[in-house]
Formats: sequence, structure tokens, C-alpha cells
Amino acid sequence: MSRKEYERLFEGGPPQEGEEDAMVELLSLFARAAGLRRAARDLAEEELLEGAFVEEEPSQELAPVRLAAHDAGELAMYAAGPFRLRLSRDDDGTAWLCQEEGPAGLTVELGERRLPLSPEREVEAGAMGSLPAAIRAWDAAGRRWRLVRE
Amino acid sequence: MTDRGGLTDELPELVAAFVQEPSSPAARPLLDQVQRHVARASRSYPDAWFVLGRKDSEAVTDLGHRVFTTCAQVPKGRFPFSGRPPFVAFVHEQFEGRAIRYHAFYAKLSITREIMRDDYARNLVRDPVLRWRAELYRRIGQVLKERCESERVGEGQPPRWRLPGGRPSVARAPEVVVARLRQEGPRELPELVLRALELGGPQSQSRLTGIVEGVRGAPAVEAPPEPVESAPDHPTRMLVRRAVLEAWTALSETERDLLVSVARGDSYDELVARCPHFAHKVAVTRAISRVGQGFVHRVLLASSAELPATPGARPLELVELVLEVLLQVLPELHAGLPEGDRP
Repeated sequence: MSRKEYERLFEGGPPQEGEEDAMVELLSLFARAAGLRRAARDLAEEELLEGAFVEEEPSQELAPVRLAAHDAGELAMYAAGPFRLRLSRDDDGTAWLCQEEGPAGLTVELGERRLPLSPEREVEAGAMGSLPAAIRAWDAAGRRWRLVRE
Repeated sequence: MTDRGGLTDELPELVAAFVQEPSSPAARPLLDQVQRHVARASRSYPDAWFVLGRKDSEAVTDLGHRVFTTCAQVPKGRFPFSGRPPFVAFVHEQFEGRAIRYHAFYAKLSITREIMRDDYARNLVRDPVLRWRAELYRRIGQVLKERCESERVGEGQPPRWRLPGGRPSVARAPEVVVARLRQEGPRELPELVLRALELGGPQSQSRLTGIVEGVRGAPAVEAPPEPVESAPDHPTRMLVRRAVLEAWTALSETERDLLVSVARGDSYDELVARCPHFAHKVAVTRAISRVGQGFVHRVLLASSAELPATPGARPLELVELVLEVLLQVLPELHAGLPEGDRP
């Protein structure tokens, strides 16, 4: 009962007649404003943690010159049907996946993880020891694909 | 200066010179660097994340100034600042330029993005369309808590929600889920949320909000209501502040506990975790009645009686102003709140 009574404050209800009920209704108005503010804060925090709109640091300005030879073994292309993926790995072992060709709606499977991709958008694929020989994926219609390293 | 492959990095020395002497000539070029990186880090964000809900050069410049001020003056508790203002921490820890830029601008939890998060949270309350999104997020949260299971996915990540009982789902991109749900026709919110999880696999509450918003569409833009007032020293705010403080002193400890939880938007479980005596029904009933009469009504009466210039400001707008003032003036409320909600 205590729970319902407290939670009803945040839900509101029809206007009440008695003076005491009207006071509770005022508190309910206050609670609903507070509930919305809490939701706004939680939503903003969650989108921050999701990394919404985060782009990688533009590094051209100060990064040391990197030769193409340095990338050997850290970048591979995978293809099957209309799809082509680029998988790269940072110095710290973090892998990045980007769908370079093919229609939207592709989801890849990497170990235990399933990563939905968007064309030409790079996503973090977690730590990876070595680049695999093939990647399994589903397209938007649920068809399975095996993208093989080129 | 740091030499990085033939390029020089002035940032660490500018920060060090500024920390040693804030009026030094380093302040100007340091501010310029902050402005430049803030503009770059914020370029992918939509209007809603900027002060007043507008992304223009003025808003970006204002953001840059606030980032600079925060880095210079506001102690931050979290890693790597440990209670120091960021610039001071950068000097003490002897960060190189890249690390400074990371923590100040480009990290997922950088100073810049935290300030933008707070602006976005404020806009979510004030803008009518964004307010609809916050309300949708709240209602989706109720559905998830009642009908779904949550799973933690890692440090610094919001929980993902999945269908109960291990019901199967497939991971699809959000835009694919939105398109499918649109094809399938209108549904009530609980069914829409469950179907989105079935089609798209485990999702965070905010992503589900984006999906439902994509399916249903946000309401048409309305003209925003006239603000009650916004300047911190405006007489209205002073009157409300006085009324809040007077009413607060009239409450018992128990009633204050309840008011704090209500003002923070705590769930019942959070209330009871903080104040176990509210597990008893009578305690809640009495406190609700007393806080309604002894605080909210009293503050509104006192504020309304002295506010002839703002006849359109009540009751909801006035209630929101009371809430805002309450959160600012009562230090008891600030314990446990994120830094962005503290004055």
C-alpha cells in the first residue's frame, strides 16, 4: 500500500474534492514535475554513456606520421554478396568494424557479441587478439552470410 | 614544448602557465585552443544538446567559455581529477597534450560532453517536444521494469533490457526495427516496446526511446511558453527561495526525507533504501499529507500572494520553479545527485 500511495504521486489522477485531497494533488503536481526532471536527467546521462554523437579524436593535427607499412596485419577486408566490411585493430588491441558496401541492416557476430552496423559508420568491436579469417552476419531479411577475408 | 614527430604541442605548457598565473599571457591562446577543440568535439551534436536548444556560433562559443571556466575553477571528484580542477590535475599528473585533449574534449565522459549532457537535460524539461521525449523515456522505463529483464553490459554502459524468460530475439539495426514496426501498424506502448525488443534484441532504455520516437514520430513543434523567469537574481526567484526556506524549517525530519525523495524523483524502492521507516504505510500517508499541506501548498500560497506580475505562472510553471529553487537551496538534496544537478 505504501508503494502504491507513493507511486500514485508521480502518476497523478483526477482532481480531488476535499481540502486534504487537494493538498495531496498539489504534491502530486510537484512530484510529476520532479519525475519528469529525473527522467530528463537519466535520459541525458544514458545517451552520454552510450556515446551518442561521439566521434573519434581528429588526429591528423598532432598524430605522428604513420606509414602504410605500419598497418600491415592490423587491417583486413571481408566480403560476401553485396557486403564488404573493413576490420581494423588499434595498437591497444581494440578492433573497429565498418561496413563499406552493401545495404543497411547488417548484423555481425563476433564471439559472444552481435553488432548491428550502419553503412560507412565505424563501430567499436571490442578487444581482439588477431583478425579472423571470416565473419558471420545476418542481413535485414534474416539471411545468413559468411564474409571471407580478402 | 612537446615534440611529436616534428610537430609541436603547446597545450601542456599553456595549461601549466595558466595554472601558475591565471592572468598570464597564456590565458588567451589557451582559451583559443579550448574554443577550437570544443567546436570540433561538439560538431556532430544536434540542437537539443546546446544551451537554449540552438546550435549556432554563439552557443558553441558559450560552451567553450563554460568548458574553460570549469577546467580552470571547478573541482571534479572523478578520475583522473580526484577533487581538483581539471587544469590543475593535468599539471599535477604531467599529462601530455593528447591526454589533456582526451579528458577535456574528446573522451566519452569529457568535461565538454558532461556540460552538454547537462544542457540537454535542461532542454528535455523545458522544450515542449523534448519534454515529450523525456516523458516517453519515463513511461518506457515503467514498462521495462514491470515486464522485462535487465542485464549489465559493462563498466560505464547503461543496462540493456531484454524479453523475459529468455524469449528469443534477433539483433537488428535500429532503423530496420523502426521500419518493421511502422509496417506492422499502431500498438499500445507496452506491446510496442516488447515487439521492439523481439525485433532488435536487447536495448538500452534510451535506444528504445529513440526507436519508439522513430515509429510514432515526435509531436509537431509548438511555440514555447513564455518563461516564468530565468535570471538567478530575479525577484520571483528570491521570493520563492524565501518561501521554500521558511516552509522547509516547518517540516519534521521524516517529512523532509519524503520531500527530498519526491523532489529527486526517487522510486519507492530508492525512498525505502534511504529511509527504511517509509516501508510502513502510515508513515507514507502522514508524510504525504503533511508535505502537501505544510510545504507545497504553503510555498505556492506565499509565492502566489506576492507575485502579481506572473499571473500565468501557476500552478505547473510555479511548481517547476519551486522545484528548481528547492534543488538549488537545500544542500541535503545535493548528496547523491550528479554533479550537473548541483548549483
